Amino acid sequence: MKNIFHIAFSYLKYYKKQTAALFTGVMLSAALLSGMGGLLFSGRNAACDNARTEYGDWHYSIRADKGQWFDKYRKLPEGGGFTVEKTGMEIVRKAISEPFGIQFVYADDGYLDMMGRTVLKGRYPGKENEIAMDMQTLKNLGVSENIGTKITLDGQTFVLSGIVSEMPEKLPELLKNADDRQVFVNSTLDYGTNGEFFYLKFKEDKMPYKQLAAFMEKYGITSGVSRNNGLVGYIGLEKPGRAFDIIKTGLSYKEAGLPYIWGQLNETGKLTETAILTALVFFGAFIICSLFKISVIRRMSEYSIMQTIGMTDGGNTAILLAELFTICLFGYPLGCLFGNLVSWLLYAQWGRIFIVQRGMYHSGGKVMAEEYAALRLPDAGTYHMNVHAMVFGFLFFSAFIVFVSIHFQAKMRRLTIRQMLAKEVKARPCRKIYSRKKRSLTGLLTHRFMFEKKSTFFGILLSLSIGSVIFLGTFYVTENTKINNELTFKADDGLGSDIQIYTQSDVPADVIPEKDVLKMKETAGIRQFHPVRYLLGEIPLNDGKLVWKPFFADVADDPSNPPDPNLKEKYNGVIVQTKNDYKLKVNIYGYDDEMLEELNEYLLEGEIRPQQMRKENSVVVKTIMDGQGNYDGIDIHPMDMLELKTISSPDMPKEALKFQGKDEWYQSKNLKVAALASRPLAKVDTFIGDEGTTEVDIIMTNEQMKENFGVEDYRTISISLDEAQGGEETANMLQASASEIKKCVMKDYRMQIKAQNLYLMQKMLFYYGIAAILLAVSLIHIMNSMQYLVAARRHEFGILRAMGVTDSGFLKMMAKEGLRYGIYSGMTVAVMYFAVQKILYYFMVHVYLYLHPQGFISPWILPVLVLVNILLCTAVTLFSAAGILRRQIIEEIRK
Amino acid sequence: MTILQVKNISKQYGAKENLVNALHGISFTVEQGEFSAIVGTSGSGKTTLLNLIGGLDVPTSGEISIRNHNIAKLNRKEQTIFRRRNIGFVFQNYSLMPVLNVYDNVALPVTFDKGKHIDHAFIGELLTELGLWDKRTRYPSELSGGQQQRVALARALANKPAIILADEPTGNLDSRTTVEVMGLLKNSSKKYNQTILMVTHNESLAGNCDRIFHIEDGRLMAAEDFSAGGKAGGEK
Repeated sequence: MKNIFHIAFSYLKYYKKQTAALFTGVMLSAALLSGMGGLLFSGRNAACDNARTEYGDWHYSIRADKGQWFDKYRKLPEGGGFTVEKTGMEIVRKAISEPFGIQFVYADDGYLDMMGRTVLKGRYPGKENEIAMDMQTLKNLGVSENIGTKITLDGQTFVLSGIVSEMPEKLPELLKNADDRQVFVNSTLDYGTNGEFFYLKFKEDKMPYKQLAAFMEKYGITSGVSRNNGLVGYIGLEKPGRAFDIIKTGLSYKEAGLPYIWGQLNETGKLTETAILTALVFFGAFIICSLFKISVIRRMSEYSIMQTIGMTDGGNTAILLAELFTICLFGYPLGCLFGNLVSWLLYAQWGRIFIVQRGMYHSGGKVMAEEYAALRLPDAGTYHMNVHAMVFGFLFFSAFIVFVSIHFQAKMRRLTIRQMLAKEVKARPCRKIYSRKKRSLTGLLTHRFMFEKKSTFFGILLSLSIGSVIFLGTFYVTENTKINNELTFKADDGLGSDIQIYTQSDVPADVIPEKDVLKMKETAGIRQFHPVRYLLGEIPLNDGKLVWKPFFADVADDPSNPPDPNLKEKYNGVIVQTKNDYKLKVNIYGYDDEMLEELNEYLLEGEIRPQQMRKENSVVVKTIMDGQGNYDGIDIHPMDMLELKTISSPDMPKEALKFQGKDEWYQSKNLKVAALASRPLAKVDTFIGDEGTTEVDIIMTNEQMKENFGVEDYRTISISLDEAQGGEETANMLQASASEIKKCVMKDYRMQIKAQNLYLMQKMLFYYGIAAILLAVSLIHIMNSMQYLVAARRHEFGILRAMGVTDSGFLKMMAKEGLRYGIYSGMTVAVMYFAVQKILYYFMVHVYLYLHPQGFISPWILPVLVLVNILLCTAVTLFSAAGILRRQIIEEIRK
Repeated sequence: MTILQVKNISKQYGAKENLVNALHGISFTVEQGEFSAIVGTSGSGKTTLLNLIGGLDVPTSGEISIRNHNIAKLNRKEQTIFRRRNIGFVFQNYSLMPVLNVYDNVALPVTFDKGKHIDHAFIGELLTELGLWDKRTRYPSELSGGQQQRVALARALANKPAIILADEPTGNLDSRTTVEVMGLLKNSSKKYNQTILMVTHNESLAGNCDRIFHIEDGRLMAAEDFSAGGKAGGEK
């Protein structure tokens, strides 16, 4: 063994260039894996910590007043198979519904700690008539925040003893009575109708779901257990078997499919993280394998000499293994150190871009706007090394090294020792004599050198191309992420504009009068001003035009998806069924020409030309989208006619919005459909709502709104400010104008936009950076491969030189070879990328629900990359060829 | 007519304590159509001398002229073209292009000269003469050692060079094939009035040649002339 390591080490020392290339390959692979792993892991940790804040730091809650288990637990709180870290008790003494939902709760210190509810002022109630609550509840009750204030609830008067911090923001999502507020009372206050809830947090070094099973078994608990769903996915709160169920469901229902599976399994981004790290591990392995292969082939004759003098196959494998392992042993830890160091620095600056935004993507058709996320994201916290990824990577690379060594040895075994010594090639089947027809054989030589062994040629092409394909894929996704962010940004709640002025009311008559709009438009310092007219309307969907009946809860007849009672009461639901046909409520918008032109970015079918729309009285239909990014739920297309019904005047009674009133309350127009769009630009969500994907909008010009329905006033205005002219002053003037109009409010989004832009810029820069690193690694690999290709034929080139090929002739020949490799690899890149892009496009459209991703990468990037490949291949070949020319011919012939 | 003139050639490798004098003041001439041999033990400097004559290496001092062209005075490109047109090589390891068939291997040096017509009739004649015509579409890996060396000889002859330099041309061959290849060299020399300078360590093989130059420790010890007009013993 010592001897084996000695020989391996001698090889490493002698072939310094190859060793350096391999070492760099291993180091960069380890750096990429550990660095990226650390960033993603830290981001997930931050997201998990944030979830603990938002949902409370607990795993399970168990009804303590059902059965005798809690007494048993109190007597013997420890057992095998579980370790309890924290416990808390919440006893709901009473719940009242007036003036709003309030729960009277006694909570012990453990519960308060788990829910992050600290006493900010005063103290926890120590007497029966004392009460403590948070500021929001105090505000809702209209009570002063002074300690000692008397508060009467359900006929009983309490003294405010303390103010506690707010309840975890998202905890209500997990509670049965989500809107109830908690007030805290003393332990002695008892109305005899208690609900006792025991909260548990196990030590997280073992899977909590396993510990829960042991806990339940020990104390005989069979029911009443609730889970903290906010933490599911970050830590093992449920059996992994759920993944199987998800896959089964996804495959069983056509409408579910891969988007459903991915969306469910990737709820906390773990699947994406695993996919990225797996891709990096394989990329690293590929680079290492490719570099090592070159190294081995170069020395094949030397290995054969070793075999000639008695080295066994096993000994040869051991040498290969020792070489690679020695490099990995030094390169891998150094790479991890380097990767983590860079990531640590990066995380300290840009940590927030790595925090997983839970539920941002696929969640039953609803896409949460990312723009909120930038401001709402928690602090990135500290950087954590992803030890798991590093260990896994090392084990994978080690196993891979063993595999590669055995594989190369097996390949060598298939050759005889003499073949290895002579580096012989197999007989060629082509018997054609070329010199009879060709005046020069150098082109033929280049061709023959390249296609000497087709599998090797394609292997080289693949290895030259794969890095570029990964780079292009990353670039493509990054570009589309940027487009998606921009489009979502513009389409959602007017965040594309600095300021939005709108009437916060569900009464049609509450509008911004035209004269006020004209006045506001004259305010100095405005760059863009887009007033929008609005009406609620209804369209008939006859003769099977409604394709996705289950999409609308009103007609889905699905107990798990009940209709919204509020919408039912106010508007008779979003959709009503009339025998076999339907009538759908729609938002009717009037846009100005500039907004309509911008709507072209969201175009699905047809054309949006404001002039034409006015002339033909045609409209744009913003249709619905399902959870897989499909838009074919309603069978309406350009050139179809629509019968649009709306109230005859904004002064109609509220009842008219149910579209069931007298005929004179309504007016109708037949309108031609000019185009289909995927999103609206400005939204009014105070009527039936406008999530952007779940409602249908009919969009026309503001002039058409006036001519068709007599609407002159506006409902919302999107305004962009000219910051150069002092945005603050303009905003103040607009605020003053808005406050003079009834129910009119102004929202200033400038801070959000600034934060969001910074966030997106950092995110894009990071991904472009990763793409650039991948490109750099692949370029190093291309250079190494091309150098090898030239070096491997030094003997043949020596013969050619001895035969009398001039230096310029030789360089010309080599340039042609490099050029051909460049062109072929460029073609391979294009073909491979075409397939990869199709997959990425599917994921972006159907899984990540990207808005209008481009079908192809920017037109310049692929040709540029192909050109870089061509130039690099040619340059490296020429560089290596020039190196050969510097050597003595006789030395080369003797090789 | 003198084809090759070697004047006071010396070659040193390395420097200071590593200095090796590979050749010392070697001078001789070779006439048109002569088949000469340089004989010496391993490490005597015979291959070094051949490489200097072939322009594959540069002498430390002295002058080598082929057809009255001092090859040391030619620049790199001129030297390459001169070598292509005037010198044919036959190496011990055949040095054929593995990716070309026999015919194309033979034609290869001619194709380097752009504008030069490939004399297919001459190549056909050479291949027939050397018994390779039937094997013209075969690849080197499909041929025996003797056949490969015949291809190398045909290639060397294809350009009708001033001189063929053969470095241990039978070094890799068995005795029967050695005799066969030596016969071919001799015949080619006669038939095409081709000057051949061969390096060998085998005295008996050298016996087939018109002249023998003995070289020991980088010095030319003796030259024996066995040609019809010459006499054994010769210059020193």
